[in-house]
Amino acid sequence: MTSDPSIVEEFIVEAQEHLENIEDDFLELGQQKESPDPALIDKIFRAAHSIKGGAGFLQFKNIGSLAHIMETLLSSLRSGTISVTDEIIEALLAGVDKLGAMLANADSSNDMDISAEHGTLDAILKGVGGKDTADVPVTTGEGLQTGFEITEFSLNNIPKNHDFLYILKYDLVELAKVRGKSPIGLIRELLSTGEIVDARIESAADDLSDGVPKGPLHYEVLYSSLIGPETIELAVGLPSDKVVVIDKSKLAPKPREVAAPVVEEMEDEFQLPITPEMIEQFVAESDEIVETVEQSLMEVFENPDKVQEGIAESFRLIHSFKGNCGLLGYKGLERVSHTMETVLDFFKTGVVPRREADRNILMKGVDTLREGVSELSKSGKLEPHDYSELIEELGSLLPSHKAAATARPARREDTDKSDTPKKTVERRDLRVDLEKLDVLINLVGELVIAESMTTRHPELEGMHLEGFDRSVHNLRRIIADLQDVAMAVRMIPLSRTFRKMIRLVHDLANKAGKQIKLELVGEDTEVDKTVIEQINDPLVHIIRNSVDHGVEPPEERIAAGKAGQGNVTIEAKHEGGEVLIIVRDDGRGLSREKILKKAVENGLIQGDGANLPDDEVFKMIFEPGFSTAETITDVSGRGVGMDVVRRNLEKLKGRVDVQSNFGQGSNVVLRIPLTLAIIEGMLIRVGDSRYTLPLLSIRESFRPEPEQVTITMDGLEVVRVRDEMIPVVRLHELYKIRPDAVDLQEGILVIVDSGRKQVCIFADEILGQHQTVIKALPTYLGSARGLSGCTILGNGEVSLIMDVSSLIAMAENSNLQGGQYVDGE
Amino acid sequence: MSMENEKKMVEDDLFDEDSEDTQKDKYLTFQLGKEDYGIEIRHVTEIIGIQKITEVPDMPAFVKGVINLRGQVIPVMDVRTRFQMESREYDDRTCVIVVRINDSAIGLVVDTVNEVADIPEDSVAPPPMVSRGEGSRYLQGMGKIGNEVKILLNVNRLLHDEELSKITGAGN
Repeated sequence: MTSDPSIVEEFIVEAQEHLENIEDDFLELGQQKESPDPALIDKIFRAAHSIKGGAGFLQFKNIGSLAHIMETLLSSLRSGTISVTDEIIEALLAGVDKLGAMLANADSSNDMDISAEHGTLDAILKGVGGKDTADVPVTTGEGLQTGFEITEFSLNNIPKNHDFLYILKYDLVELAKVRGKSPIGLIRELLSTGEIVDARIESAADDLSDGVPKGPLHYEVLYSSLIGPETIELAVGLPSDKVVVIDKSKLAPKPREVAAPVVEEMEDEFQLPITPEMIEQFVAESDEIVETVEQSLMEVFENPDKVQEGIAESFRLIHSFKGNCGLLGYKGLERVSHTMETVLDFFKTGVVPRREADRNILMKGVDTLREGVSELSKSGKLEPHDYSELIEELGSLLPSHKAAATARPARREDTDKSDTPKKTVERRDLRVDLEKLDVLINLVGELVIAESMTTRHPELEGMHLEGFDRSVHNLRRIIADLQDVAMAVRMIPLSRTFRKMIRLVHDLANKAGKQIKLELVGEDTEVDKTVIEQINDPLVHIIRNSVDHGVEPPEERIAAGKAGQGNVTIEAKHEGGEVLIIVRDDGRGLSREKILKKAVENGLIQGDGANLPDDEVFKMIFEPGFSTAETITDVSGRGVGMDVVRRNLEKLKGRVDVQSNFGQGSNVVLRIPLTLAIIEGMLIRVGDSRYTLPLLSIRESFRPEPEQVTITMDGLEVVRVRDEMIPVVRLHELYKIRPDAVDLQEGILVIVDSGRKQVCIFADEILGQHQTVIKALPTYLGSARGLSGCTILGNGEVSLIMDVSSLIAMAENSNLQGGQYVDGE
Repeated sequence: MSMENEKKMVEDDLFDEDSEDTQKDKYLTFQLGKEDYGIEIRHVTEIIGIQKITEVPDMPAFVKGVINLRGQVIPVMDVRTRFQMESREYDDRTCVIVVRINDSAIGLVVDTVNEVADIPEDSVAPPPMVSRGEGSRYLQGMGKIGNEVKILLNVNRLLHDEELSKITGAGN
């Protein structure tokens, strides 16, 4: 375990960072008095809350108490019971200053006098009848006291989607010794899937700064989370007897909240409880959405250049709007927005002429949404309206058969919330602009090149410089270390991304009425920051697909002889220079027939595709607009998601493979390069050109015997290596360069693979191995076949880096086309 | 003394690169075959000798490939090929003019670089109205210095009027 001073230090650094962060926010808050931005208050609130939590943990009573009263005041501001005045801002800023002073001398903070600041804040609260006085005892389901008492405000401040409340009992000593987890690490982990409402620590020693006691150190956390009781143990890493489930409904103290659930039609059995905050947030978000949709739609009709852009934009926004409506149970608005979405989706195909009449109807739709939102913001609820006329009008924009789809309102609701993580857990780390980091890494790359240009300078050739060589050796080692460190800086574990999926699976499963057990494997796998950023969306889409289409409802599973509970596994591991992320489910698998049928309909393939291998067929689900879902619901079915997967993976120079057995489930495998900046390369030469092959994709190289080579009637050269037949790619033909060797026996063949596929690359010779900094090809050039970038060689020349998977794809495609051509004849 | 002065003036020019005034009406002139051409000096960042060019496949013929400009990989365009003039072996007079437009640097291979010339606006005649093919699209005007005529090029168009060429390139 880390020594205690370091825990204290971590806390102080983190707290100071919080304070710095919120100071400006106060000033901004002071300027927007009348209508304070709830997000801003939230942020300040959270900062104060974190400080309070940490201080309580480390027994800094004064800091905790001051932070607590600030927090209380802030929550009153947030709920609007107090409006922002200069006086309040002053008092809060005084509090911040005091906190800063105490943090600077944390050890003696308990002796400092906080009565002035505390008194002012207290007076403000009392003056307005601060409602934060009555604490509610927290009881277990059986009504047992747990010793926790929480205020109504804390209760209201539990995020609206946190349906569950638990008490988690940790033993910090055991945690540290057995699992090597520090308390800070634990807290951070907990914050990734929920919120710590309150916490307390029981120990014989009342001051932790004296060192960790030997015996058990009980740490009890009152924890709110969106994760249900089924999966909570997995999420918090505790056995079930250490997790107490709290009945949240018993805690709701005042009728104010009972009035909250305002639901237009209570027919949805999966309805979540709705709090005033949820409505407030919905109104705020929706206002903006409606405005933007209106603008982009106007743009569509006014500016012919912006048609596709505007429609796509409105489509996306309306989609989110619909999601929110569904979540809150506003069926009418949901139906209107669903129809609008369908219309826009249809417009995206570019079929419907955009006449003035169309505009009027769409604008009517926008206005209706706006009216709904404003009614909601005024009265907090929606009267049922009859929207059928509008829906019919909107439907008239569609060809008749499409209208049928719109009449079917969405049953299940998914809120795109997982895409926009709401809370960002503050970290103590030094935050550095990614650009600066990139500059650093680029410079290190330059250094590597400069080093080899210097030490292998032609003028040094043939000289025996023993001392110099020793220095060079030393220099090289340092540069190599530097390079490793620079790269490691960008590496982040996948755990946060993975943990977000717990929520997603839970929500989706609940709404679809399915039982799903989620397993996370290899969360600690580290990948480049860019990869983390790009991988979230694809994962969400794949998991959505797995849960929504893959795993069957319990009855169907049992009928198929499977357990009623489905399994979804997300696994990450390193393999070579790649990270593999595998999403596995044991659902019904992909239907080859359905996909082929759709592919034929969409004109993706010619003929019936009966000869296509399974993986070719399954790959088609990644085509834009490809969906075999019979009905379009809001969870999925429009064929957008898988397209996102493919595009994001392409950005990462990764790829996605699908394996599936009908009836038994499917595997989606994402392969992503570990880092996007440096590779180990093998330099090969063809004529005057030098190409770099990623070392990791090279299997072997050899000079073939004549009897190993077979030429098919299409002129394709195939080399037999042991039991495998591998096609040959002649680089000189592909890139039209003049080689030294034309005869396969005179050059060299390098077997490269990507996934399960291999090709032999034919080159004149292999020049050697080098570590190289990947540079993008100048954007001016657009993209070139089979290349992933370029690199600068030790002699200053530029070498092109080959993209093995696209080389293989090219080799395959030309075969495929040849085959189809024969079919066509 | 006059040397001193001249040197100073040149330096001033270099230092004031950003200022519109000093760059106004100034053209870098270079030679392709028998004709002299000019491009606005404000686009030019440096001039380097020809060096080893790495060919990039699938590019239009006028894109010769990429070179390493102090760690930065930049594309180079052969201006002769761009104008569909007969190509010519590179020699030690061949130069690469590095121009920067919209934050991307591109090297232009020319037969040789001549000088920086001052061509005031009133000495620039509009391009001839008769179009004789490919090259005329890149014309900005005809600059007159005494008896000589410099063909002034629109660099932006030279670089980015590529959609058409890309398509034709892809079609081949």
